[in-house]
Amino acid sequence: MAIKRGVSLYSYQQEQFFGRMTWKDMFREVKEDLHCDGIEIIDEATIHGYPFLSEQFVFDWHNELARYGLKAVTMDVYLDPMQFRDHVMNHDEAAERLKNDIVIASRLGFSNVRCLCLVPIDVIEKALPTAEKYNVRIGKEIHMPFPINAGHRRTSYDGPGSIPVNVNMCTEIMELADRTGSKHVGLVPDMGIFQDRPSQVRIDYELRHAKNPESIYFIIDNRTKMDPNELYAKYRERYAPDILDPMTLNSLAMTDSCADPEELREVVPYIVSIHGKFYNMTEIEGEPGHYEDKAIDYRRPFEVLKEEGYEGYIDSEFEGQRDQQDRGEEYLVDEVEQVRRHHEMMTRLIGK
Amino acid sequence: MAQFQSYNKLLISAEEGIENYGLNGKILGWQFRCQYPSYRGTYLSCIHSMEVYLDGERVPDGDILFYLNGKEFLLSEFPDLYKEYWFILDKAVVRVQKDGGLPAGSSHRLLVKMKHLIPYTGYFGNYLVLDGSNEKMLTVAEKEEAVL
Repeated sequence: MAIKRGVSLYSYQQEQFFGRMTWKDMFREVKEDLHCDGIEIIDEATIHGYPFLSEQFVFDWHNELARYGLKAVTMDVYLDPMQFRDHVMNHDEAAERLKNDIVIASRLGFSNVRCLCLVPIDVIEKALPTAEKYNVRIGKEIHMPFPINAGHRRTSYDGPGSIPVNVNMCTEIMELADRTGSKHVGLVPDMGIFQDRPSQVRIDYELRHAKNPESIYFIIDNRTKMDPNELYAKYRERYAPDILDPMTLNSLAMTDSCADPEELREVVPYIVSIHGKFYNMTEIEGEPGHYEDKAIDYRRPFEVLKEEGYEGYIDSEFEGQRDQQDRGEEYLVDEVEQVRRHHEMMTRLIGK
Repeated sequence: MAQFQSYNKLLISAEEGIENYGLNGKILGWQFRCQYPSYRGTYLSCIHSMEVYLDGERVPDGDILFYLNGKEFLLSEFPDLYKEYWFILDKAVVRVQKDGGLPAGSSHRLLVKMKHLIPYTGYFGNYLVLDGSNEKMLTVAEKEEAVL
């Protein structure tokens, strides 16, 4: 047994949107080119009729899985607190939505649902009996800038306007699993937590749009030289009012990764699956045919996962297309090729 | 943040362009088709506004009928449509009620602007609202009556 490879069909979002690939074409690519079997989807991006499931779709889905011998690994579910325009969704309503998504996942044969970092722990606990009943694990995503370990040093601006980070998120999930003895709640680490520098496609995007490109270079040049909050204050002082919002700033200004690979060890028993996040796969200098994402460390986390005996799935999640969608269609990145490169890297890192 | 600019071009579907629609030989108005510009769909309740301009002039919201999931809606109903999901690959039909429609073969500048909130955001009481727009020069199709 070894780490297993899969693909989140989110990676091919442009291909889908512009009508060049259907989910069935993606299945074929996963099997016949990438030679792996893990499938991950965003429920509402693939399931026509969501939040209702038609018998036709269920039949079609299982038929295609069987045709290529694929495995439905994780279904990414959202929580939309602002879905209702007259009130913010309360926790009971949120749990009902999650339960409905769990039932959908079960009917499609998924082992897991992934919920977002910001889903409150009591919402997950309310939905846990449903997860048990339908045998679907709830995995909470550990997404940058959320740390694995509450004590991890601050690596991005955390003042007003940034995402409110619950540093105890992973601890809360592990405590819930331990307290209830349930195997149906766990974590979905996103490899983006090992991103330790801004991606080149992200930088290029901001340079194309900045009123004052010097302000972008100021961030890049100083991100490792000062505390993120200090950097933001200085940046604002120098360049306001033409400044980036705090969340965009954080995509350029992380001083380091928000988690260390070593910290994975304590959460491995709770991992339901992993998001293989990447932005830009480029050829490694001097190694033709070998690829890497220069912004995200994959090597050390893979070593830790192998040492700890992780045998679950890592599903490619390509997200670099978004930073290349501001120009003509001729500049759109080739998502299929990017995912193929990512699998070259993962295959190599998994080894024998 | 990068905001799906490339997707906005599908706010107006070039494939069908502008067509007249009607019933029993009487033209009741004109229509175009429209896709939601993101990587996942949306509940219609999350669309804050949709503005349609023809040749620089705003089409009154009350003249617009929005067809999706086999149903007909007014734009003013959107806030209540929190169970009506717009799948990313489905084209909605936007109909503008206008007796006689537009002259077949005539060219028009059509502009669509949409403000839509991203409902899973909600940091410190703020949420992300994306602003999309698309403009196209289109020729009204020659055929007499379009159907949904």
